[in-house]
Amino acid sequence: MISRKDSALKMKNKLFVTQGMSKIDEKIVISGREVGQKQRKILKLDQRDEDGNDYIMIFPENIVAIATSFFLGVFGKSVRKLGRDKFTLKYEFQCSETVRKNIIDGVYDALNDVNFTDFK
Amino acid sequence: MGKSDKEIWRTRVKSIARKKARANGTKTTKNRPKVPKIGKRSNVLNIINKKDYNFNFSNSNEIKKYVVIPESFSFYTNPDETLRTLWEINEIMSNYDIESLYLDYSRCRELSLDVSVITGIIVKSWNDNRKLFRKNIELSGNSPQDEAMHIFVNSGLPKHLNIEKREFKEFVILDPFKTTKDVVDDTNSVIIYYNNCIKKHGFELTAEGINHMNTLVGEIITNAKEHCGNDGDWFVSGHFYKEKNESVHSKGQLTFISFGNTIYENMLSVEGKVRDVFDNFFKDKKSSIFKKKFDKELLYNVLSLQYKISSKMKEKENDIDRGTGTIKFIEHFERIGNTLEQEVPKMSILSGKSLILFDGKYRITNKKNSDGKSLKQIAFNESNDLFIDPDPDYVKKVRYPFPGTAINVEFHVDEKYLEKFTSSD
Repeated sequence: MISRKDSALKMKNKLFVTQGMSKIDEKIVISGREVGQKQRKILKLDQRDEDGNDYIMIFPENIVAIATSFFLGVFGKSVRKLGRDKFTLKYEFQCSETVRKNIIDGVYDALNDVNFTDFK
Repeated sequence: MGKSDKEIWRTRVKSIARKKARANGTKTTKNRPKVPKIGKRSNVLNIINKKDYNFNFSNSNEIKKYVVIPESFSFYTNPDETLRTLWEINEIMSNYDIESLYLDYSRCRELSLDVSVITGIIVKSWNDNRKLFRKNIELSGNSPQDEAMHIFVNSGLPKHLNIEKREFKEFVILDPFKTTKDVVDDTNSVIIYYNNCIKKHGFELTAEGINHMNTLVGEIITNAKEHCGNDGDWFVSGHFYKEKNESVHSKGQLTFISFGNTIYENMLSVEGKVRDVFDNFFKDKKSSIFKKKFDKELLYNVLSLQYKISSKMKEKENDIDRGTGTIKFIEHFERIGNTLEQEVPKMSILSGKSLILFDGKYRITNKKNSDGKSLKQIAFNESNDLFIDPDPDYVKKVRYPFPGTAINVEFHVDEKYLEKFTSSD
């Protein structure tokens, strides 16, 4: 019999975040908001954010770090739409420790709506 | 300034038509020959021409020109004289009546990589354009002294014009004219280049070191591409020198040049929330005495560095979380750079007539407000307060403008971001 935990795991679809990116196996870092926005379209995240499914988002092992600009390009909209907790539950990441830290920073930046005039 | 490209081309067409008419024994030039298109002029030259960087420095009618390069050819230490010299070179190269240019580097002892690359871009672009019109110019000169010679020979004009073909083992160069102009490719090229440099010392970047470099390099390159405008162009270069004495701490320079919109020009076009932020800020500063010392361009440029401030921030869903990259690249520059034997890591950001300098005196700090929110900020004053004047030694107005943004970074990588490199060979 399949346990509730197993069935939850089975429902998670795997998506490669760098799908379609040229020569990604030769790279060690990814940056660029427009690059991220392009990946968002390729991964169809606008639809996936609302489809009720959970996903495992995979970064290739050779990717050591991602820039905030790239993360926000791909996932910024998703973070703001779903909120931190729902985003984290819906999108599980398979990546290096450094990329995981970049993702945590990116989630913070997506939600942190302050600027210097709040600090007179 | 000499004749425009259009005038020269018109003269050539007429000349070809007259020759053909004479050869055919006819008087008129009714049926003018079709002259093939010369091809598109480089974006850099279009930007410079559009903004009219013609100050009449070189206003005599001589056809042979001689330019003395200053002792310090660097935006960081000598911005006004450096910019004046660059525009003088630009004027001479753009005047097709001038037949030769001698660049006297003999007094130059300090040459920064950004200035070296910009000199190469200006000279090479005009040189290539002149060849199309068969208005070649004879270029000659001598070399600078001391450390300046290293950059000149390996990352300077002789290399850019393909005159110097020797490869020197102690130098590792990142050629600004051989980048792909793709953000991901070029960011990786710079980091891999820098990692290869320090491998010469038996070390390589840790994952955290690569992360810091990615934020430093990736954000600058992203900004250069996104903000220079559709008609602009951008370049990235690096210069690394390995001391003959073995040393863990390797000194290198990285430079990022974009021709196109300046930071100020981009900031003037902001809309929505950022526009409101700026309007409120300047209302508060109305009675401040600093208005006499600082003009809007300088203030806008300091504000543009701050968290969640971006000229691209609009009300659209995809753009409301912009403005995090610049403050992060400054933060990562502060972290990864290392002070070694009194040499501090340095960075300069020149855009339009605004020059901002970094040498560790003013650093990013976390500010907290009564609501418990925190924010990273850099204001270039002791209080780190944007509502107080920045230090005029670190936020300066320069005499001549630059048509875009030039960022130069000079640093040693802190050893905590290095690990032993074991060759797999």
